[in-house]
Amino acid sequence: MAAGGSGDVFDILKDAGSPDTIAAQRAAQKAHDEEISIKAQRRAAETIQGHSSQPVYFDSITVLGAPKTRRPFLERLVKPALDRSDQGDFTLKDALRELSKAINGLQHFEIFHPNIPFYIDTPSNYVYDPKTPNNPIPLSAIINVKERSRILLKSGTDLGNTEGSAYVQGSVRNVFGGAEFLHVSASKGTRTRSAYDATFTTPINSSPLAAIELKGLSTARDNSHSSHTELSRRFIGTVRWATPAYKLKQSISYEGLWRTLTELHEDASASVRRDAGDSMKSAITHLLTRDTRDNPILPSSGTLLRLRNSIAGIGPLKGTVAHWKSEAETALAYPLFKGITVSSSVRGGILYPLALSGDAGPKPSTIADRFHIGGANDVRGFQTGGLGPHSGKDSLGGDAYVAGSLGLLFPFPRVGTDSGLRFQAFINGGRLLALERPPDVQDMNIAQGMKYTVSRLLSEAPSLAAGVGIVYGHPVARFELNFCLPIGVRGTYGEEGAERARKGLQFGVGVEFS
Amino acid sequence: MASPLRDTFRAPTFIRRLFSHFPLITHPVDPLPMSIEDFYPSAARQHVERSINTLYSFTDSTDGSVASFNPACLKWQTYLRIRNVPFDTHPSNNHASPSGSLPFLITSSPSDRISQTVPSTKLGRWIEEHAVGSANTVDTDGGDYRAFLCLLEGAVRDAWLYALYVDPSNLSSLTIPKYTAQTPLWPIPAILGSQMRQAAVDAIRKSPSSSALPAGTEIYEKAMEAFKALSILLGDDEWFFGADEAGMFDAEVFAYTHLLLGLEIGGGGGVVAEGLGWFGNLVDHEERIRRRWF
Repeated sequence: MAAGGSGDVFDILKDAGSPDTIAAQRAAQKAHDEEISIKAQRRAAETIQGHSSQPVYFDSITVLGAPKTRRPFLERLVKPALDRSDQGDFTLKDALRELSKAINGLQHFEIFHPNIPFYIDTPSNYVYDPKTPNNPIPLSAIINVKERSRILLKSGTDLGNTEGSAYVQGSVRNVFGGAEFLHVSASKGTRTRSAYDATFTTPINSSPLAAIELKGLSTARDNSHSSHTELSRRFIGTVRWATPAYKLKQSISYEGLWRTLTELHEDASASVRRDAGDSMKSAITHLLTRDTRDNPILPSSGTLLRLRNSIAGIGPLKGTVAHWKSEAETALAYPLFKGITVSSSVRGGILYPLALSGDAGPKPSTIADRFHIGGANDVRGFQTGGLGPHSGKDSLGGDAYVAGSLGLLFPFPRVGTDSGLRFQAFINGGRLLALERPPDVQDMNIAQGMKYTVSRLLSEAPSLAAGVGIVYGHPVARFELNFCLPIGVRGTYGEEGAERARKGLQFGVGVEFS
Repeated sequence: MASPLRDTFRAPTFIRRLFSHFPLITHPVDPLPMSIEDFYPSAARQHVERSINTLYSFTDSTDGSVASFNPACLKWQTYLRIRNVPFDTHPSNNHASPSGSLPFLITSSPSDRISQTVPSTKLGRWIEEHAVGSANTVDTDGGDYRAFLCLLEGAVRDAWLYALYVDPSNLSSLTIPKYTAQTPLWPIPAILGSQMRQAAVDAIRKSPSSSALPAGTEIYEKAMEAFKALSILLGDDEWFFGADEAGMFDAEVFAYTHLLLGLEIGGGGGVVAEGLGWFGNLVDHEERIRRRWF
């Protein structure tokens, strides 16, 4: 009799549990909540706006939810806000800005969950006196943080410059409660066959802009282009700081390195055999980077400037090698029209031998310190280490180089510029020379030799290659497949000492391309 | 036979024709990085003309007439000198060697930049091919020869290893400073020293086919017995096995006697060196080779 009606009820009841209904209900609820929260936000904003010039001062700022973080560390982050408030002439607007700065600071260290809510109230014992509306109102602010888990274990695969690797890593966050990081990792790769690394980082004076990093690293690297494997164990201590206004990042580091060139190929050249075995480098390096590029993997605008200077082996540094090594790199990306961008880069470096403390004079550089250029993400159209002096099939490297590239990137038809896909056309080249004695000079004078070498470097035609290809800029790495043809090369194919160019397809993966 | 397969992977004709046009320009090849001798040519020219052969060995000199401090290197160095092959030496280490251990020889002609590397395992044959004939015609396949070689490469070598690498005082005063001269900075010599010691222990264990390391006194006694046997073998002859001219075996004996007599070895090893001094004919043999070739 009431079959229809009861059927309706049953249908409704039945439907109530179906996923569609639940989803619809949730969506409606969410929309409702959002509406309420937007309204509340708007009301709060209006209230704040209306009172933004109200004089206030901070009675207290409380950070809640940070039991494992040291109090002095948090105090230093919050102190600028309190100091500013104590100076007087402080409005509600100022108070909010100072709080937001402090919160940005808290977020930067990655020890808290990034969503950090805060509350502002007057102290409970404060009574508003309507007769003196211009008296500063005390505020107590509460910043509610949530500490992230301290220990993080991860494994996966990674892409670096011309290589793939698999890794396991563990991190301890906030080791001593001052945003210190301890990071240990082990990885096996195609080119860096194994790497073990332990890094400890601590901010300086709670500043998000300056840090000290201590690192121990042991790697085995396959340098097939020079017929050997390089084992190295190193300690690096770095102080780094940034100047946000000029987008400058700088660091000064000390590196102590013990390396062994071993597992020489059977046909390794005499030069490689001469440099095989143990050596020790003790160096101080200054690195300056100014990077305004919009995306380092696939830039469409901006510039890069990088200067690296390091001094090894002299005076108290000791070690078994002594030199001054200086490199400069600039890159530019410029959008033309219709998503077409032009990109170019120029870089160069010199390795200037110095006398070790206790030695009578400088010694020639070794293969491990010299520059090696060429490769799929270096000077394209050449093999890894394909430019410069060679003996047999070995790249011996050089003491001075210049390299440059000029390229055009075109968006894929119908895909647009948002995807990372591009066509490219490029011409690139370089020149790599070993330190030479000027032809009319008997004994070696380093300054004279370097001057002569650099003048040759700049006056003679570089080795060149050009090509076209496809680029895919993925957030973690850049992939390139190019068809390359060498234009100018030193030595013919198969000739002793010839540079090693590459004709045809070349595939490159990397985080840094030049 | 392999041509059908190769054809499959061969680039199409137009690609090959295109490739043949590149590079458009070929520049002359650049000079090689300089070696220390190129850096200081006047210093390097102090001793004779530079030779085309270089013996990479454990040594602290580039002069072929300065004896190596390692018996395996000194053996070949001595034999090369006996056979009148001109060569320089170059301080090196086992990492550089194609066989994993020194010495090895690089023969090169500076004019065409091409070099040949001869590991110690092939050095004997190389010398036969490149040196003038020798008056030493000792049969190296004979039973006696082999037995005495075993004595030298077993008992005498073990005593050498024990004295220089296992004995901690000699390890730190003689072996480590000599072998880690390239990297004399803390903590590398200590690490390399303990690695060398372990390698020596392994080598000694292997030879008497027992797993426990024998006591030093036992090893030294066996070495004394070996010297006694060698002294009897040499007798009043000038060279071993009554040969007219020094040969490989003489070089091999000299490699140990020269180093044992010349180095100031302490501890039990010093007793062996002292004991060796009692065998007058072995001491004379060492002096004969030293005076003539070093």
